[in-house]
Amino acid sequence: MKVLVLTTSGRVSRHDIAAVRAVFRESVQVSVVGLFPPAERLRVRRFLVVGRSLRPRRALRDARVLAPRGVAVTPLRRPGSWGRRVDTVAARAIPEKWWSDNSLRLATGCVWSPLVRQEFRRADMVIALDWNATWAAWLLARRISGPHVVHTADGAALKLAELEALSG
Amino acid sequence: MSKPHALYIAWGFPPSRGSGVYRALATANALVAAGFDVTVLTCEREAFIRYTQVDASLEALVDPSIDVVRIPFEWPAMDHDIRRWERKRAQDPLAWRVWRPQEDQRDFPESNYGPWKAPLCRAAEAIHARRPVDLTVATANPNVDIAAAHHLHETHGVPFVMDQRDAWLLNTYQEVEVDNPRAAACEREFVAAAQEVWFVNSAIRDWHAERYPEQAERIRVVANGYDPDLAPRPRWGPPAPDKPLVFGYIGTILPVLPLDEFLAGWGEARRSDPDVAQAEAHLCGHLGFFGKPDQALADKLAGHAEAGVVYRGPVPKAEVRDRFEEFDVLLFILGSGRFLTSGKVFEYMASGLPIVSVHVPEVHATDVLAGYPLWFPVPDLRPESVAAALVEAGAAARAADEDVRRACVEYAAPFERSRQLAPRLEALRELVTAGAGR
Repeated sequence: MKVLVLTTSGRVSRHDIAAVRAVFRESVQVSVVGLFPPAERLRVRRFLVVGRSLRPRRALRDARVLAPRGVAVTPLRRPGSWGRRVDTVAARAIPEKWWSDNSLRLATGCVWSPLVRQEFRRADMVIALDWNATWAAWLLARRISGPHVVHTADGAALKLAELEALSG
Repeated sequence: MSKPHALYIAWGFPPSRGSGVYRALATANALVAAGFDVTVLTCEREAFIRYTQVDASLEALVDPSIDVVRIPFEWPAMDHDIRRWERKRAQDPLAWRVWRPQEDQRDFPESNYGPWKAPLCRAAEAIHARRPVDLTVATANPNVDIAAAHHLHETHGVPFVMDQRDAWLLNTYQEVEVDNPRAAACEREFVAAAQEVWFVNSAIRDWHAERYPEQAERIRVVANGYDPDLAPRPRWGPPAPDKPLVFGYIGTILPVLPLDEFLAGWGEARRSDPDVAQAEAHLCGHLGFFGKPDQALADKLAGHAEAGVVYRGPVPKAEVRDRFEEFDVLLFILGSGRFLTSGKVFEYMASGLPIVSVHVPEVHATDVLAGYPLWFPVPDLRPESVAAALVEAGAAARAADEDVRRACVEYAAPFERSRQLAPRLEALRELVTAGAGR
C-alpha cells in the first residue's frame, strides 16, 4: 500500500512515521510532503519540502531520506533566481498574517505542484497528519479522485476498519 | 384479529457493537414475543461501519419477522474522511469544532444527534402512514430517539415508552445534574407525555421519581439481564488441578475502569499466592467506545504482559459464550458511582463461576451480586484488598463443587433479560389491545 503524508510539522521524526506505519497491518511505502525538512533522515520513499513561500507553482525540494533500495525518485531542479525575486516582491505585498499561516503555505505549495499531484494520484491513502494539513488535503481531494483522504493516523485506522467491514 | 403494531426506535441496533445494543436487540425481540408486529427504526448500517465498527454476528439474532427501517445518519465530528468534509471545516478545522456542536443542537439539544430529529420524525410519520402504530418504544441514548416517539404521540396520539436506560440529565459517573436547560425542558415534556419511563436501576429511577413526582408511578425499573442464547454455559466443576487458572474479563475497556487498582492488586496476588502466580488475566473487549482503540489503555495493558496480563481484543457477541468457557474466575471491573449499572454482571452470574468484584462497594451491581454464592467483593480498591479477593476466588475456583455452582446459576435465573422485559411488555400489549392508550 502506498501512503502519502501531508504535514506542516517542523520536526517530523522517525516516531511520527512509525506511528503512521503502525496503523497498517501490511508493509506500506510512505511518502511525505512537508512544509519543513524532517528532523532527521527518514526511512520513507520520498520527502518533498514545500517551503515557507506562498508562491504557487514554486519549486519543491527533495529532503534526503533513507530510501529503501530500488526506489527511485525524480531529482528536482533547484528554484531559480526569478523565483526568489518573486518571493521578495510578494513578501512586501502579501499581508503578514498570511506568511505565518502554515495551512495556507502548505496548500499553495501542494495544489499547483505537478509533483505533489503525482504523489497524491499514486497513493492509496493520503493522511493529513495535523490540523494545518487538512486544507491542502481537501483541495487536492477535490481535484484528484482515487486515494482515500483522511485526517490523522487515527482516521486512517478507522478508514481501514471501514474498508475491511465493507469487504465482508 | 391482527396483532398490534409496535414501533421500536433505537439508534444503536445491530450491527452496531455499542454496549447498549443488546438491550435494543432484546427489546425488539421481546416485543415480538409479547405479541406485537414490530417495526424497528434505526440508522443505516454504513454509519456503524464508518464510525463505531460493527458486530455483524448480531444481525442474525434479530427476529426475522421484524421490519427494520434504516435511515441515513451523519456524524461529522467522528468523520475523518476529508473527502466528505465541507469546505469551511477543511479550511479551519479547529474553528469548525467549536461551531459544530452549536449547529448540532439547533433543532434538538443533543450534540452529534440533534440534526437527526427531523429525518427521524419524518420516517416515523411514514411508518405510521403505511400502517398505524399502536405503541412506540424509544431507547436512549441518543435522546433524539425519544423525540421521534414524542412527535408521533403529539401528532397522532400514539402512546410511547421512554426507555431512558441510564439518564440524560444525571451524570452517573460524577453524580451531578447536567446543566442544560433546553434538555431539561425536553425531558420534562417527554416524561409528562410518556406512558411509561424505564430506567436500568432503582437509584436512577428514584432520582427521576423525585424530580418528577407527578409521574413517579409511571417511572419504572426495567433492569438489564442476560440473554440465554448469548450468555455463558454454566461450568459445573473445577478446572484440572495441573491447569493454571485463567481470570477473565469481557466488556468494553474504558478509562473510567479502575484498571490501575486491578493491575496493582493482580501483581500483589501473584507475589503472595503460588496458584495465582501461575495464572493469567485475560481481558477481552474494545478499548474505548469508538472505532479506534484507546492507545493509552493498550499501552497500559501491554506494560503488564510479563505479569500474565493478556489483552485479547474484542469478542463478537456470538462468540462470547465460547470465550467464557476458557475462564475459571471472572473479573468484574467497574467504574465507581452509585448510579452505575452493568450489563455484564448478569452474564457473569449465568456462568456459575467465581466473580471477583474490582469496584467500590457503593454501586448498584453490589445489590445484584449480594446473594451470589461465589462472589468475592473488595471493601476498597487498595492493592492488598484486591489481591486478597483474587486469591480467595482462585481458591474457590479449585474447590467449588457442582452444588455450589448450581446455587450460583439458580441465583442468576431471575436476572434473565426476558423476565425483566416481559411483564412490562405484556401490560403494554393489554393496554393497546384494549385501546386504552393515553
